[in-house]
Amino acid sequence: MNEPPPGELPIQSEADIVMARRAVRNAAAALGFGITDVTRIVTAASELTRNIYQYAKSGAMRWRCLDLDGCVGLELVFEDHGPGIPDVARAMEKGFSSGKGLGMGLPGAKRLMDEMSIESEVGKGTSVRVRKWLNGKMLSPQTIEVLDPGSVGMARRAARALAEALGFAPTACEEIVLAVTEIATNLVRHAQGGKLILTSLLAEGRPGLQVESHDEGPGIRDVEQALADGFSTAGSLGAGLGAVNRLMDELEITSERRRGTRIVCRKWLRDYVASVRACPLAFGAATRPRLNTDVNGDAFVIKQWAESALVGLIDGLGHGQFAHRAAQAARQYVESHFDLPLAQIFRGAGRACRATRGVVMALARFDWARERLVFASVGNIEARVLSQAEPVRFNIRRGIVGLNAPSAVVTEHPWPPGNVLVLHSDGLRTHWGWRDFPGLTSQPADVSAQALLRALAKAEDDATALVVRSAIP
Amino acid sequence: MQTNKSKNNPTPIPMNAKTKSPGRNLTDRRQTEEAQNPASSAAYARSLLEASLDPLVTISAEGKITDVNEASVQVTGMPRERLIGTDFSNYFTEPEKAREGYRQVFSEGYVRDYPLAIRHTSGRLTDVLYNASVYKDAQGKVLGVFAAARDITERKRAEERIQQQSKDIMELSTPVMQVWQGVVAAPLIGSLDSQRTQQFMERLLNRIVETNSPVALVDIMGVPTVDTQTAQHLIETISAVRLLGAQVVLTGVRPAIAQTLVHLGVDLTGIITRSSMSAGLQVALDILKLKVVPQDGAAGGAKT
Amino acid sequence: MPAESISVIKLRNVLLVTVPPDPDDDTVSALQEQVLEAMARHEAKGLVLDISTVQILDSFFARTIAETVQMVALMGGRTVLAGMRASVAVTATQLGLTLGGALMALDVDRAFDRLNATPAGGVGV
Repeated sequence: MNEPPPGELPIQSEADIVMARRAVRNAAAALGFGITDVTRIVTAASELTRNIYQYAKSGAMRWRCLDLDGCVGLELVFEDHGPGIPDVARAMEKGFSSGKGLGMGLPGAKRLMDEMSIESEVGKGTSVRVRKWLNGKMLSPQTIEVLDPGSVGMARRAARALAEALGFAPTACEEIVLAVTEIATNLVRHAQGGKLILTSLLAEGRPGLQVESHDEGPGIRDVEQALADGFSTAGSLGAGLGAVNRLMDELEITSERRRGTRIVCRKWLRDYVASVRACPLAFGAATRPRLNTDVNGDAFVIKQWAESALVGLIDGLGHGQFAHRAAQAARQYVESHFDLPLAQIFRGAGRACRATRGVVMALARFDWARERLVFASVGNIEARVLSQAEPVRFNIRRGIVGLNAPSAVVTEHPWPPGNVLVLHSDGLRTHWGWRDFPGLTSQPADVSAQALLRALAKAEDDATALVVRSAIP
Repeated sequence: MQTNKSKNNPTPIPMNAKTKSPGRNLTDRRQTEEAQNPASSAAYARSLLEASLDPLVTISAEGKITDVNEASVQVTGMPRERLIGTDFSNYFTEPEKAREGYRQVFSEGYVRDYPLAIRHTSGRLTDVLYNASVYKDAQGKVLGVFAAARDITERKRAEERIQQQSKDIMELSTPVMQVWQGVVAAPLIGSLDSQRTQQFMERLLNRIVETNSPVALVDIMGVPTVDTQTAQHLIETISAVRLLGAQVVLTGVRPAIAQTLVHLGVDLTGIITRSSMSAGLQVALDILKLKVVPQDGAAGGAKT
Repeated sequence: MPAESISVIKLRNVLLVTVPPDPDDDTVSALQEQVLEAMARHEAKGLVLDISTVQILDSFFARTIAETVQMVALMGGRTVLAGMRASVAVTATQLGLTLGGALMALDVDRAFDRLNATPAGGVGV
């Protein structure tokens, strides 16, 4: 099997449909697809090329081989600048129109291939991408009927196989398998069985795995409540959904009493390559619990990856053991989902804190290569920016994360060198000005954080200060 | 195990079953030993429990952990202080099942080989079997439950391997055989998922073309359940065979399957079905206009 | 590109057309025309389309066949498709292609048997 090189073919006449078939046949056969799969791929290509010719009169077909960690496949892209498809969903349902209908192309091609994605804009054109994998079963969506405890094992195996094929690290594979176990077990125990669908995803070049579960069981009365860990009343769904929230990156649940439940969760591959550029930011933090207490109800996060960095300041409600537990729940969630959009982190952390007292939290992500700051905050974390240019205004929502907090409002700001961000919990007095701390622009960030803490901390509360500034060369 | 009288005051639970709890023996032995040499026998007992490779735990009548040994700390990944005082069912993948087992210990006095899975903080799971019993103080008052877990992860893994192997064997067993000139037969065994059906369909079609057989007997007696998906797959296979110019006779349709198919609203018009493969063979012969005639030329050319 | 020439043979009141392996759209359309023309000329009672070398059956081809079957029927004849390949059958089923009521046969021989059988005599296949 040799990998044929990528190629492109303009589609401008009916004769090109045959040329397209030949090119695709050669590529598919060279990759090692069996005769039936070659037939499928070539037929799908014929349908999609014909679509281009019929609707747009001209366009192009491109093909290339895919290699996803040992899984080999063929990708075909059909592009045109034609009229576009106004309603893609409907075009997909149209199915096989009888007689003269020209509706066969898309749904038919989808059935023959493993994956299909369509982008279309009315008046601009259409792009259809299809893929077929050599180990077809591995990467095409798999549906598993989960009816008894035995199927839970099957679901685990399938999830592990897919996660490994996609290239997830061993820990991440285990996390996915655990999440699938929880979901599948719930299907057996609470819903008298249901369907589990595993799909491989690709978004912005990053592979991911999606687990979907459908059942027609009794439904979940209060989804957000169910996401709180702990003992749900006997017979109700929920033990385990909190874990799924922590283990996966995204989680959506729709449920209706006696109408069943649909759960969709995804995990993305984290494969960050360190940037060649050094991070131009410096971070400093200082924290101490309330006096005469050994557990700290405050927590902070500092995470760096690729060309971004995330800082977070978390304050568990009150102080002592319970505040500590709440802050840790939020912190752990943020640490393990650091690269997700801020709104999603808030949502997920809210779920992770559901069974706790709740926290207030501020998150600031620095996309330093683009010199941008993305910020969101719920609660009374103090957030100030010493700005070299225009003043920076944050939109801080009132509320408590984990306790019906409003959705965080995410704002984006320029972040030129020289700016300084200070975050602190309410364990520090807010009555201070930049003039009180001239060292903020000249001293290392951790020294500044310590200075803020020393000067402003109140004895009767946990106190934390975070400083972000340009690194001193 | 030290009884943590300071931590809990367990309320006695009425016991209506006689107990064979090893806990009782331990208490008896301890009574004699303690009487002889209090400090060292307690330390001795403790050292035994800490040396045990099996996770051991005592649970109060309220369901809270009152003591653990080192192995329990290892298997849960939680330090001793974090475990004690917490609800024991927290640490299992199926908390309700754990609680059910706990209730059983109280009502029966003990539980043996109760399967559960312990979850480590890292997410790692350990499959175990629990032996648990009630334990009492010197006066015979029930203090709680003493439970010992046996790690069966290896065994489970071996079982899973066997299951996977039998799955593989099943996959191999969809032969398509030519039983007569013009007739191929395919007995299906096991459940039909998409991938298996795909493979089966290709094999069946190729065989039909190779042997030039207008009739294919497909027997589903060995297919345990027929759900919508399986039915869809079967219909697809039958359509494909038709396109070749051959015909499928579906056999082994048990009454339960027939019911299911009708309830599912599956359209089986135009598909010939019979309850057994031999009946199907009869249909095949009819289609091919063949007759089976006894060799000694008995009159009538009776069909077999 | 000129359409490949399709040969139409008449064998005892039945037309036999051998379809090439990967006909382009023009060839497929030309096939239809030639068939109808031959039907008229010879007053054939049936058409056998030998598709045993056809590797790809896409929706256009299927539609053309379906139309041809209907047209032949209007002219008083029946159509049989002979020798479809296994891989084509699988793909056609997945695509959900219908072939307009054409009869199917494993090979050309059996196709002729089908057409020569009397319409009333219940043929099993």
